Amino acid sequence: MITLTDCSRRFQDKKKVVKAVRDVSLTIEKGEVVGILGETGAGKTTMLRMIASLLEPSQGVITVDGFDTVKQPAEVKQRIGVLFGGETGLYDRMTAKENLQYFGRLYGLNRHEIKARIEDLSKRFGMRDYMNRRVGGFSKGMRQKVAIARALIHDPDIILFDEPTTGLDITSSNIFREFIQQLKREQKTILFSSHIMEEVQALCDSVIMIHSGEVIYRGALESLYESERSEDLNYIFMSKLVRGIS
Amino acid sequence: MLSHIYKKEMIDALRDRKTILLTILVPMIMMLGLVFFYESMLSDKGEQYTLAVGHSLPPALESKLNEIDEISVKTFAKPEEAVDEGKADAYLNVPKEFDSYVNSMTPFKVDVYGNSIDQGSSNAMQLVQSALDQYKNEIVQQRLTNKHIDQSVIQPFTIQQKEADEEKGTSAIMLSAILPMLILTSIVSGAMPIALDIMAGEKDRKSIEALLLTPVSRNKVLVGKWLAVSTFGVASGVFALVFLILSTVLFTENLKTAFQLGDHMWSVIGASALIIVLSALLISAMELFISIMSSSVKEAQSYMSLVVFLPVFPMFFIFSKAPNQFDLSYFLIPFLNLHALFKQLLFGMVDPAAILSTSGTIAVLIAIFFLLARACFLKDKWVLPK
Repeated sequence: MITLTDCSRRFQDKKKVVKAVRDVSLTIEKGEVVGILGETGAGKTTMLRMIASLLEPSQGVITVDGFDTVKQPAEVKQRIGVLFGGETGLYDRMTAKENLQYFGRLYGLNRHEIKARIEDLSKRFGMRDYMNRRVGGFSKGMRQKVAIARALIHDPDIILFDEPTTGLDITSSNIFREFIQQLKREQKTILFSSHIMEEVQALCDSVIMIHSGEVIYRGALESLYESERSEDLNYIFMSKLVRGIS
Repeated sequence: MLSHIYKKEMIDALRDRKTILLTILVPMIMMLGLVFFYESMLSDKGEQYTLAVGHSLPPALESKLNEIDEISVKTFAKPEEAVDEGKADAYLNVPKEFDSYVNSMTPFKVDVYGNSIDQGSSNAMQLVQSALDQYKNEIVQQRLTNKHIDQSVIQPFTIQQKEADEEKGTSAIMLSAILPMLILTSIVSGAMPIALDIMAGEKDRKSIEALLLTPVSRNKVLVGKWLAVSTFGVASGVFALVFLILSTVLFTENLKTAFQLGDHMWSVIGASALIIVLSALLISAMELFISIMSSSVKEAQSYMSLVVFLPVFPMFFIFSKAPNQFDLSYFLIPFLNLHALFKQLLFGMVDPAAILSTSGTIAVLIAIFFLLARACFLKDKWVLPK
């Protein structure tokens, strides 16, 4: 379970203080698949970074499975798998297997556990053919698959994805969506930001809508459809934004 | 965990051609080139200088000049122009009445014309000058003998110049100047590619984020990376030293005398190893600090030029100093102390106080730069991609 209590994050931008996340309080239950919707710069990535214990909140408390992200970062990181979109952040001169082995070791897995996880993940993502090739020569889709496998190498219970299908072709995007469904069946808690409404609609149980660092909606998709009398998430999001601004 | 980070960084760097090139090949070429350059400066064999004259010389003077192996006398119609055009190294202008002036004891003038900026011309002028001085002395002695005057009247004493260490004096001076410079430059260039890649490079390709998302503490990540950079620095420094010694011993005649260290050999090797390790740790900490402070590899590269010049610069302050002229203050100034210590070691001087002061100063500086690097690495502002 993830809880954010009165959470804010400020950044110093030259002489100006920018509040990227403002007084957010919410709870994400175990096994829930939550989509984060918001425009570019709305605060989605900052929120995910704070939950992942990569950034400290300027105010408030975040806990992951009861562990404080500031006071117990190692425990939090051990339970979370993260994939930030755009750049995959892999080591080009190392093979896909070596990349995964390295991160497996950093997450404290032993040799046998790493071997088993790599075997399982390479099978799931259809990466067996190129596991022993250096990542430098991979296509964007192949890189993204290895990056997803890296985020899952330690079999985390909570998974954070930030624009995970950015740059993926249709086949790879479908593989990824199927994989999310599979993780959902395994009762993993998934939090992912996306600007693709169909993706969110297809995969999520509930959504968080963010505008200028503030949460303007948090709730189940079904309730949202009912209250807004529409199943067009794009339309709902835009009308929420207009109401939020006014 | 530290070992995993260190091992990964080493494998990653060893697969990078640029790193290998700068760690091994560049120091090797630099070393070989400089060894041959300094050897040619020391070598007194093979150099031939042409002395231009406008007419045939008096036989006694000519035979005096012919005694010098490096000088060959050649007659030119316009000897001064021959020097200006580079056809001759120096021009000796003696009057045609040379012998009659000498015999009649009439004072006269002899001109030696050359270009002091040109090393060959300068050497030729010195050789001719010295031959003329010697010939002048012989004439004076002859005149005194003819007048039955004892030579001691004009020569109350004789001067005999002796080198403290005749065999290795000049070669040790040469090597003491280039050795620390080459070793430090090799450490800087050997550690630089990995230092750039390991932090600024990780920010560029955004892999730093994935690394910091693991439960490994940032301190461990930093130490692992610093040790990997230092290993390349040490390897580069050791490689430079070994290659310099081998190329000097195998390919030179004069320069190799500087390595005749006798009983001090093992102390010198031990002290050199200590200096290389400390220098590598310091330079790596400095380069890592710059790499963390920079938002991209490109930005880091421009700041790195500071680290390139800093270790080499002090050489100019001690180049003309003898190793026994260094007091303790020389060993308390970072980088200057490395040059001073290397110079002492090459002259066979093993001074524990100098070694301790140098090590202590460098250790303090290592701690300062490492703590600066750590302070930045712990701040999200410096490590997280924007």
